Amino acid sequence: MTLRIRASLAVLPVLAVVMTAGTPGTSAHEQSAPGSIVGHVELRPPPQRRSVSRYAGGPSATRGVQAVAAVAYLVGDLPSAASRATPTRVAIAQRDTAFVPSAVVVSTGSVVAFPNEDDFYHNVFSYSGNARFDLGRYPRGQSKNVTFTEPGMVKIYCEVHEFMRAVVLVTDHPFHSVVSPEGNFRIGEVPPGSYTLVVSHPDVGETRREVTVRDGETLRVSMVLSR
Amino acid sequence: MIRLRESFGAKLLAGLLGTVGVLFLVTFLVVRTETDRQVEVVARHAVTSAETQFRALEEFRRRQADRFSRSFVLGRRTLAALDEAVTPEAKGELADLVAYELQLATLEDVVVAFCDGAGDPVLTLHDEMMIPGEDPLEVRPLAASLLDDASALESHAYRVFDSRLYSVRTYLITLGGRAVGTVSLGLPITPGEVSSIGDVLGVELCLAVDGACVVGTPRARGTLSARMMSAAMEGERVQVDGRLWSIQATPLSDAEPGQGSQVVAIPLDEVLAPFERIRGALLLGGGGSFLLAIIIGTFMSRSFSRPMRALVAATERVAQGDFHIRVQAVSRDEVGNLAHAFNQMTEGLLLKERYRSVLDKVVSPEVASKLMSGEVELGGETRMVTVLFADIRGFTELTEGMPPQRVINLLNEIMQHFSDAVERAGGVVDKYVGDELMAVFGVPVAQGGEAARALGAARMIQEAAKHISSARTRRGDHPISVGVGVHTGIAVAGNMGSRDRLNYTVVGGTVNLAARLCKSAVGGQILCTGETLEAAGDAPPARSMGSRPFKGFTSEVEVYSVETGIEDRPKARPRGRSLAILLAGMFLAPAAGHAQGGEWPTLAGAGLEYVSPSGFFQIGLSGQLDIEALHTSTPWAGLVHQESAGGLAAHRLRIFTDVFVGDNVYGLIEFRSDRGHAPSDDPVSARIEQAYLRFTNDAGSLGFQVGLIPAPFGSYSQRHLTTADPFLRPPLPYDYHTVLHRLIDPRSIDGFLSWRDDSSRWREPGVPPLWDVPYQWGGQLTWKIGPMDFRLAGVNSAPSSEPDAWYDLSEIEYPSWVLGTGITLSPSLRLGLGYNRGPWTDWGLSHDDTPGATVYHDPYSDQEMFSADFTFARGPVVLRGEAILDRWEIPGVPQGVVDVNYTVEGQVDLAAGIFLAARVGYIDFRPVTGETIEVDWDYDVARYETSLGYRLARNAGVLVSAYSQVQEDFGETDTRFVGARLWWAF
Repeated sequence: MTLRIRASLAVLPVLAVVMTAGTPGTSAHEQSAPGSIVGHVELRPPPQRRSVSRYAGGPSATRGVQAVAAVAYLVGDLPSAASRATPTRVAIAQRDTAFVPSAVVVSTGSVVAFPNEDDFYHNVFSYSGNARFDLGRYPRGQSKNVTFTEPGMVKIYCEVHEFMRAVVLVTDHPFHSVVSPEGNFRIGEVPPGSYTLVVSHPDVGETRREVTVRDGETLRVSMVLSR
Repeated sequence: MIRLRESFGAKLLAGLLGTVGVLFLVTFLVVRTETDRQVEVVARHAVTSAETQFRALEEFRRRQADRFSRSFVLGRRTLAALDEAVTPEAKGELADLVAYELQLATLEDVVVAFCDGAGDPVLTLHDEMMIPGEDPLEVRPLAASLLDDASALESHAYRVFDSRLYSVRTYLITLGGRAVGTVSLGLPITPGEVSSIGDVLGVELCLAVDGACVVGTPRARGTLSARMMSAAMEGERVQVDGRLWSIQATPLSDAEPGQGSQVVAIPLDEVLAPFERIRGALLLGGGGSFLLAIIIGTFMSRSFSRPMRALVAATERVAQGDFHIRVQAVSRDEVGNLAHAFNQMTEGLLLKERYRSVLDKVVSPEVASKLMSGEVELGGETRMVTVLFADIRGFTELTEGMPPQRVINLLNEIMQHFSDAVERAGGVVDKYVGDELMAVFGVPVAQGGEAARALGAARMIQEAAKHISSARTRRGDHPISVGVGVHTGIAVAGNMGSRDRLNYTVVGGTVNLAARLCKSAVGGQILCTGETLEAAGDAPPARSMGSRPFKGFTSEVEVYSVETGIEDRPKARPRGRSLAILLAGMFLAPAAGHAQGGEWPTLAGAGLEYVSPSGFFQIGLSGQLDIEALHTSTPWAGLVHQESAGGLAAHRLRIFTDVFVGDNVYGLIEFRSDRGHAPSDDPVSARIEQAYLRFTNDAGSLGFQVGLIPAPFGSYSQRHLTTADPFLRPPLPYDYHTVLHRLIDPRSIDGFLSWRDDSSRWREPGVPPLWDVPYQWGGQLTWKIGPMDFRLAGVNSAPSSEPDAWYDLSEIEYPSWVLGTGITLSPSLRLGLGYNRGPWTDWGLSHDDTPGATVYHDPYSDQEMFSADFTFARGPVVLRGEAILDRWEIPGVPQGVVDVNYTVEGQVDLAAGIFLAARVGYIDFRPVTGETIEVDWDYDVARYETSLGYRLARNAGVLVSAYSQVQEDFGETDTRFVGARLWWAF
């Protein structure tokens, strides 16, 4: 026996929303549908910097410093139900004297492997405040793992090759995305609320925007990131 | 090292080398055998030819002798004369006769001997002269043999007479059948004959009697005579005067083999020459092919082993589940094909994985695995199953007026919950039909407790429906209600359909009844049958609803309603995790600038950098600041410029301007302010330290650098003041000052000696083996090819030149040359060699204008240095070593003053940014030998150094270092040094 509640339907304001295919939070206190943020960042990074070894004894070819992708993430009061950040396993390979991929976002507890795919040694290290490691020199085919337990931005370098760069953003929540080379990013499953959206690039800087996500709504943002 | 069984490369190499070696050996042996055979053939031929020639000459002589003898043998006068020749006067008659015959026959140098009927020699003549003596020609045995033997009329022998060799023929003189005597005619074998034989045959010939060469070719009598005489009967190879000979001896006369021998020496050089050439070519070819085999074998095995190893590693990764791995196919042969096949395989695996995941979404995982494993059969089996139907009541009315997309989304959301419930209960969602869901428990694998689990799923479905409903009503949307029917019974389960399109499903009355039950249920109700409850055993409470008729079933079915157990629950409290999230959110807020990234501020980061829009031109500013606190136990003027022992603070500020033009041109200007290199009163010295232009090719393998550059010689110069230099001070040879001082004229030996012995002068600023790191005007060419690199540089000063000479271009007479080479044997190990030569001082002599001053015509003295170094880096450990042999020319000491320096250092990373390093340096002063002096200059010095470093950030850190320096003589001048440095590269 169905009840016709057409009248009440007409009373409610019609919202042009598209519900996502995701599941709502499992906790019983908020059954609102999550929204998402789709954004485009216009990156105006400075033209690629070159670097070279000042002493002729080292690798003396001029190389452009490796370009690193930007990352976008949310900051703010993120409700408990939403933060189900699961640790993942990712690999950042050293290939053709570059870190591939150059930017990665992981959640705390994740393990990042650094396999060496080049014929010569690299020495991967970072002195960032939240993750400090020096993997030493290991040959092609071997790999070392680093477990990131603290959130923050980790800048990764190679001691042997001054122009190699990588960035690992460690977050405690899953609301992040790596910005594609065209400048697009998407953060999905965002619980409704007000947050600060941060887009950050290690060479250029960062830009912030206050965003409010509503039930089931996809928020489109357009930002410009320049020096 | 290389284990044959474990390394394909070693096997290949062994096979190649073995093959080449066997081939080479066989060829070599064959050539040698042939050589010997050829020599034998030639020798034999020569000997035979010589003999033949000789026999021909003998034949000629025989005819001569025969003719000559005829007159004696047949002439009556001879007999008469012979008969009468018993008395000396009668002998004269015979002698005249012989002389007359000789004249007729025009023979010279002939020996004639007569014997009587008894065999006693009667007369012996040489030409016309009578030879005294009993039997000067030794014809008695010859005569005797003829007289005794009735049949023989003549015989032949060789005799040596008057140191000449004669071919002697003896004839019987008969009278009326009675032998009355013999005449022996000896014809000489002239050196001319022998020489002509030798010339014709191209051999050295010698006729020897009793071990002496009586007649022969000149060389046979000269240099070869000794060897020829001692030659055995068989051929013998000897080396005389650098030429090879084969010497063979054959007896002169077969009748009297002991009488003499013909010795032939055949020159072998020409015979052997082609064989020698063959052998040389063989050796060269063999050596070359050996080397080639090694190179090819190594190269081939490497090109095989490396891809193999990569393949093995990639296979391991695939086994671990990484299907994204790809192997690079470098060659187009089987190995490359294998790599391609491997890639295809992993792509296939990846695809299969994707299919699997897609399949998992479409059918239940259990069915998917069955399908994947190929157990796909048409037809089914009869099983005991529990079937569940769930149906959304009034869905059509619910979604009236909704846009289609929203309808689908709503349906999917609801169905997601229902299927979650089913799967959590261990069931399989069979199909969705519009707003109805069909689930089966007990297929494809029976797990036990199906009925109970189905009821559990039914309750979960009702619970989910309630949640969705309440959320919707709160929003003002229409709630939903769901009816569920569950029945347990026998059904046929299997793949129904055609072979190309299968549906794994369940059919039978059981299914129909469950569907009808569902339709019969009201919203929010779970209806099941007695069979289900019975099968469930410990079932949730159910209430009988009586019997109902169902279409398709003959008798009525007992229907039960299962308690759903849903009540309104209070709102759950926010869990404690939200607090942690809050804190994390605060912590995530980035600090000012990039400090969070572990980097101290830099000029580039502050924007002091310009890059042209196209990126072609770039100019940047950067720098490094070092602040040092030092303490030394012994004042050392040249070290840090102190007046007395104690501590001091030092700074070093360097500002770099980097200029890039395109990718191939780089320029650097460094401005430095520190205490300076040479001791001075002014503790701060500011100057331009480096200014150069560098051109590199695109690959970076070729580079040319010109300007004011750091010294090209010495491995330390290339890592000075970088993070690869973990100590506070340079290594001992670069940081030590000897007694040699350019302003003191060592021509005065007294000054040299007194200076040597004056310990107080050790602290004067003398000349070091190498000044810190010199910065010199010059040009440097570097070239890298494969694992090797080369360096050639010309600079205006030597490593021992004083700093004021480094920057001064006006005084160069001729530059210092530096040669260097290095090889990277493996990623861990690099070896290097270096050579440097150039003038280190002009003694200030050429500028001496004072009258009476002696000016050297060559005031410059050279410094020559040889260096060898190694660097080993692996894991957290770096080891380095350098040995330098350093030779300074000083007037009065021709071979120069020599010192040998050794440095060995090691560094280990204890943790990220924390390292411990230790270094030992030693300088060994060799004894000095001059024109008038010999000085044992044993002031060897050793330094033991250690340091500890901590990186504060990528571009900043602290370093603490200490050393103890021991001078072999002067015990009290052991120096202790300790210092700390804070560095910041901005």
